[in-house]
Amino acid sequence: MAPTNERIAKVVSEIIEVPAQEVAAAAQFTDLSRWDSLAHLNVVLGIEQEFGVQFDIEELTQITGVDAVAALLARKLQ
Amino acid sequence: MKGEADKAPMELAAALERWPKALPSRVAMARLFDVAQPSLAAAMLRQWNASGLAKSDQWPAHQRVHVGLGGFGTLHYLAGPVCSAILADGAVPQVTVGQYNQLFQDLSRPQSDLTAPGVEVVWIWADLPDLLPSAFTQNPAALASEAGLKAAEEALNLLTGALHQARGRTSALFLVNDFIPRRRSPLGITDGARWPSFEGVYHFANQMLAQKLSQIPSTYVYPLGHCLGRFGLGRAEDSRLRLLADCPFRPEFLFEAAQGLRPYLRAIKGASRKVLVLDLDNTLWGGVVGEDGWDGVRIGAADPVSKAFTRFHHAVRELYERGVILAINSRNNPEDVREIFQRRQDMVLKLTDFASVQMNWQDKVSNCRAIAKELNVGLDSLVFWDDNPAERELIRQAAPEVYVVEVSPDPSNWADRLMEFDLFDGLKITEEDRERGKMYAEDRLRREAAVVATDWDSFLEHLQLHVRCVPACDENIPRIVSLLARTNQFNLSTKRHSEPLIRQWAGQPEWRILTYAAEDRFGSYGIVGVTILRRDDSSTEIDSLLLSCRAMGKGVEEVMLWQAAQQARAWGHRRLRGAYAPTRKNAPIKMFLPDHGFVSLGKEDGIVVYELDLLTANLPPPRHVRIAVQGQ
Repeated sequence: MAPTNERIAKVVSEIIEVPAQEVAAAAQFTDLSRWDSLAHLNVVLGIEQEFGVQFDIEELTQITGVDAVAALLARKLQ
Repeated sequence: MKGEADKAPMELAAALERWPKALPSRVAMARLFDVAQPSLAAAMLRQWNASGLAKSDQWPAHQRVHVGLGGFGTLHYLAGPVCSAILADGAVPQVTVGQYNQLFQDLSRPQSDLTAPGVEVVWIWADLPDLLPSAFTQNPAALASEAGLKAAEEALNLLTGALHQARGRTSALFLVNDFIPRRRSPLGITDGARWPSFEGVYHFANQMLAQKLSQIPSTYVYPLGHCLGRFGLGRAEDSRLRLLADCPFRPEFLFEAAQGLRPYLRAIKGASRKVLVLDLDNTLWGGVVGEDGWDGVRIGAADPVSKAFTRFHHAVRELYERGVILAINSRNNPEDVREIFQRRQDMVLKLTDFASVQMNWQDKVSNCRAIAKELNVGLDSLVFWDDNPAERELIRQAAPEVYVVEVSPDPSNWADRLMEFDLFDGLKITEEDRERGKMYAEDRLRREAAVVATDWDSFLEHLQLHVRCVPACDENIPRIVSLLARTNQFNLSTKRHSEPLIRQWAGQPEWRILTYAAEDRFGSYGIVGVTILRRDDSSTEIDSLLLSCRAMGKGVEEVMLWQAAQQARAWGHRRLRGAYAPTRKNAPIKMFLPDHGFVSLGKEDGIVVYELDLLTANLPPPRHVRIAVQGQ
């Protein structure tokens, strides 16, 4: 797994208390059993803190899975 | 800072593994969870939730706290911050979140989760735009008018009407956020040159809220605005979160806002602190009196440092005025210290303001114990303030029950720190609270007289004790509730009844609630004792019997028991029953009933039930006490 993906999975895993492998294996965050709107909000803020970025409202709607977030970060951090 | 942050969750993980074998005390839990950083608190909360302890129902009731959240917007985001505030005082949290945007239904519906039994605090999040939704979305500028004020008042009537309804179903504490203007006026700068103004609607609504809530028992305005002001509106709000999740505030702020629950929760659990223990050198004045002399220490208005200590005196004085007991714990020659208090006219605090004075060359832990013993309180009633970090660490290690304030080396902010302090807060400030400092000073004179008297009986005669028994009424109910909440030692059942419940019982013939005020030649004690009696089918039950520790051992307790027997006879009962429920602190009352002829009927869940047969019992009032009973 790419290092960025690994970091994203780790953030999500810590917040919703699901093993990082399980997070990485899920195509969408919504596939995770413990995912809910509270988890979504905390994951957004957690990723912002981890990577030192701030998402705009359009980007927030794209926080849907590990790959999607990695792609988003790649564009933002170019 | 980062190092600290990493350390605490590791300590916590170790503690969580260890704890299931034996439930931790409040002190042990509070010491681990009481961290000021939101990110750390969130991480610790995750560990707590993952542990088996969080779901456990094996916790005793007094160590559990159940908070309900009602209002507008997504309140689930508040659940975590509320739990972490509860854990930080060593209690086990349970949070119930009301229906989304269904505040009025939550308050009025009989089967509502928010007003269900067990919920002890209901925290209500409703902002002015939530209560006046169409006015704020359609034409907010039109609010700046007499019609706007009227609309605000009507909206508040709806809210307080629903609260009145809910009050009939629950005795939980209601906390309602005040209103904060979070946007600029739609009238721009002209808003400041007119009345009614847009900002003015908020001020008006806050005033109405305070007035209306003060009419509902156990209901408080929650000062969210104060919290927001300190945290900063710009840091607290996040427009994206409002759009994404219908929650306008960032989690960091919600953690901060929930910290404000702690004084309410401590107060309902009887865990408020009572005594401020102060060091002297470099705490009540700058410098060391033994070296600098009474005229050399810095206090007064001569320079900024002296002024800082004087401001601190004023802040201590504020606490004293509302009932906090003061004590001195200092390594000094008593003569040097007396000289300062006598000769320095710029000392705001006087030596007579202190109820216990420990000035010697012993260690400060022994002195703290001596203070607690002298004032008849537990170590967990003490707050320790000392400029010396080594002394603070010593107390933390040797007497963890004492709350040790982390004092900065710079005294300039001490007064502000003390004014923000919420550890001493009770739910009410009664007349007795305002007089408490003076009454404890009088106790010092009593103790000195007791040492002089040759035997105890002649001391009691010499006291000329006068006890006055008054049934519960509007004027004394706040004091009854405060005694129920605060009294730990001479307390038979330690039931912390709420004000609404006491008000309800006071009007019912099957209940008899009596207060006892005492006075002797040294001064007045105020109301010190309460008995709550319930008329059962064939016997009289003592629901509660308690006496403030200041008045113990002088005969008031015998008067209370005698009066309870009188009441039982008046109800035509032959039997007077009471149950002793042991707590960590109420050993002083353990033998009270058996010592007065009560016979044990057995023990269940640790509670011992006693009965007195009034036909054979001989229970006269003590001879040295003059007794006046109102209503007879």
